[in-house]
Amino acid sequence: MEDDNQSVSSNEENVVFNTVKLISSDGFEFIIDRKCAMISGTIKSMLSSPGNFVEKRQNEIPFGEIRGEILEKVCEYFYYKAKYSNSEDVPEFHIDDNIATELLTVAEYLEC
Amino acid sequence: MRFNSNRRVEEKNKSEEIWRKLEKAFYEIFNKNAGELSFEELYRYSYNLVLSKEGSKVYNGTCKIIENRLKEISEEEIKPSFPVYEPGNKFQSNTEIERDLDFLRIIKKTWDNHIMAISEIKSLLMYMDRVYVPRAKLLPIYEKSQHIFRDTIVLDENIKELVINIILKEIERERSGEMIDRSLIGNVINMMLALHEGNKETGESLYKSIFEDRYLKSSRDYYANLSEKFLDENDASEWLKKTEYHMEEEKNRTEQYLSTLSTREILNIVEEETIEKHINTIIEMENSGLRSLVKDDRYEDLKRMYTLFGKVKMGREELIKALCEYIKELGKEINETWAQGNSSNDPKNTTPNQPVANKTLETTESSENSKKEHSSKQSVNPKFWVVKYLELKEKLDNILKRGFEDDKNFQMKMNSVFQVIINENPKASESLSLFIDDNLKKGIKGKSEDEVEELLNKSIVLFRFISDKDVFERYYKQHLAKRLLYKKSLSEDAERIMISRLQMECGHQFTTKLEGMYKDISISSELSSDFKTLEKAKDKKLPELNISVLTKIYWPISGQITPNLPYPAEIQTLMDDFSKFYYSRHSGRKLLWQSSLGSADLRINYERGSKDINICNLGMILLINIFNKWKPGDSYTFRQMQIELEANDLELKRVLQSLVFSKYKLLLKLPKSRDIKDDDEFIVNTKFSTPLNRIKIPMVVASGNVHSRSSVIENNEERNETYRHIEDSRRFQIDAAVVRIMKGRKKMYHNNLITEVTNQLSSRFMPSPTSIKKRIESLIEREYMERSPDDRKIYLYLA
Repeated sequence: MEDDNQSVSSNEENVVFNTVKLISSDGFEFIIDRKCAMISGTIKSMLSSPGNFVEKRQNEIPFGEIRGEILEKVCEYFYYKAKYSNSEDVPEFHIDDNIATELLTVAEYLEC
Repeated sequence: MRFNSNRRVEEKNKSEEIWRKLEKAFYEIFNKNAGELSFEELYRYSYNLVLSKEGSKVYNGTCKIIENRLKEISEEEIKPSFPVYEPGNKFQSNTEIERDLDFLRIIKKTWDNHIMAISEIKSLLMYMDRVYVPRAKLLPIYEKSQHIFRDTIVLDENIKELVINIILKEIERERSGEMIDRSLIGNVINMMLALHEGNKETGESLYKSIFEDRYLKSSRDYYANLSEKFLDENDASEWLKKTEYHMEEEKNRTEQYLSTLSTREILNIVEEETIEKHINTIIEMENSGLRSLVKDDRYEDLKRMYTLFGKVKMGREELIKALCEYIKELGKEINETWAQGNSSNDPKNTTPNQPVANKTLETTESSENSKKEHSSKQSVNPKFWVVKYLELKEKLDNILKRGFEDDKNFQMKMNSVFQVIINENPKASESLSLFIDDNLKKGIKGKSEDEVEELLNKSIVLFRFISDKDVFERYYKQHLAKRLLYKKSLSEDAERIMISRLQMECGHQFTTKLEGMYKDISISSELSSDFKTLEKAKDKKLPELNISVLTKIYWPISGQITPNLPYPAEIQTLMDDFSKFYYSRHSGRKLLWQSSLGSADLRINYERGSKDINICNLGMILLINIFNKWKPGDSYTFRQMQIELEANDLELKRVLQSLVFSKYKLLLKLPKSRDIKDDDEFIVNTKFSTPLNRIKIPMVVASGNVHSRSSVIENNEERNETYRHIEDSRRFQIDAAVVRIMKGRKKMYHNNLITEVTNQLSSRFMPSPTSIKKRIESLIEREYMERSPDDRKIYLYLA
């Protein structure tokens, strides 16, 4: 997982919702803070692209290829990143070995 | 292997299928139908395609879609709306204008849609841009799409021409005062600014490459045309105002809907076409060019001219050149009007004495003839010449300050012209000194201290421009001498201020003599009062004597001593007493009597009461003789008087003239003609009367000029005399300078010596090289220096 210092404080102008719903391929729904979700470059594009795509309209993003377990970890990471990216004393972000590979692929996909 | 190839085919088919889905979605996006599409899905497709090494398929496919789409629009929407013009129609009809604008609107719409769609597509293909594009060394899809747009739409020959021409037409319409759709044009211009030449991201913008030149050229034509037309109508200052307005307008245009990239150029073009090419026309234009602006003190117009001319090549150079020429003319005019009758230019032409003498008589009853002469001479009054120059200087100062922002270069050039014109009047020094003299004698009456100081300061300003300061000094000394001797000066303070100003300008040396004169006068008044006390004690009942003892080197009094006059005994005794008194105080000094400078008060008892009369010494002696010695009623011929008094013919004539022809006719002459012959007879005017108790007989002017009350310019004889003195003193100064320099250097080249001498003396006068050379010859003769035996051009100093 990339641990770059991407800023979380970027203010999107047209934010209508404060949260966004992420849906996993197996139907789990995660309603998380919109700003945290936009740590992902991909999610950010989805929500702020000039086009009028379904996701933007409905404020929910179904991920066809991400399992609930993985998506949960991703969300966890978003909050972790939002909380610690500007502090010096950063605790370790725990990742189970059995999902490490899959999580890595997803991170690449989500650009985070 | 079979398994593998099967799998590859399977994957191939699968990618093909996914691509088709993407392709379809892109078409939807172009048609603004993205609402039903899932970003995540499409993103995942492109992501997976790139992951499975199908990046080129996505990239090229996308490009193809964009290109096809734009070609379609071009054929179906843009080309059908090409405006058609009716041939031969110079002015556009409103419908034609509308058609033009519609065309621009379609271009703008196409561009806007393209940008919109490509922005969406770009975000879907983000992974491709991030992973595939750099590896394949391609342009990011967004930039690539701009190039496709550029080549398909904007650089289409027909479309390009139309777009450019329509914009130019609109600009021209706006210049002629019509309202145009600025934002529409601004949008199209922005499109050209956003698109670049070449295949890199940093090529020249299309604005620069296809539009700017055409725009600048059409602007140049426009302004060339406009200048031509307007300048025919002949109003330069109006034109400059208009130019200023146009420049502002063009600047706004570039800022508001063209590009600030062109601001500098378009302004240059306006400057060149409206001003630079017409500099001289504008400057010389009658009734509105430089001259009339200067004449009427139109500071604002002058400032505008200065500012605008500053922007073009040679503008200010031409401006100051023309201004200097004009100043020269103004100066010439002043010189011709107020300093003409410049008899000193040609001394042989006029008879020196008579006309000038007439002028100074305060004649109210003189003959017609002399009246005319009088009035024509009046205009030559040196005071007016000075006043005119003061006015001119003030005018120029104001123009410099308020019109030309105190430009140092302008100031320098204006001053040097001013110096030239002022010194073109050979009587400049004398006139200025007379002007000051006149003011110190009567002009400053009733003025406040500040006003007096202001006046003196102005005089000093003119003084700075006088190049022969030594000539001025000489005249100033003469005038000061008369003010002091005849107690004409109104304010000692003002005199002192003037001297201190001169000292500030020219140093201590310049004013020592002036100060010495002051000292003499104050010591003399003490002397006189001491002497009076002494005389009173003796109780001899002699007349009162006021005496001025002048140190010869301080006073500008010619060396010749007037022969002693046959004073009446009382006066002669008094003079002898004073001499004794003086020698008792200062042994070793020598007193010489300058009887021509003195005057006497005497009382004449007429039938109708007594009158006190002030008259020059010779006049006093004449009157005493006539009234006391000779029998009343007797007449005397001129010759008789001359023999009796042992007087100089010329001076006696002068005295008689003043007694016969002036306002107070103490004597009558037979015959009554103006000039005096040997046999003319004079008798006492026993009927003389005047309401005044005390009168002053004004002296006809010659060398003495002493009794005259108004400031008068010298006649030729006097001027020649003055210049002879000045020449003498210059010779000494050159000698002194040469010796001083040689003493310091010991050895010097001829040319260096000349330069050095000129430098040292330039604050007082400009010695000509010939005059210096002559002095050097003379110094060699007198063995102060010699030519080097090795090099004739080198001088050696001889101790």
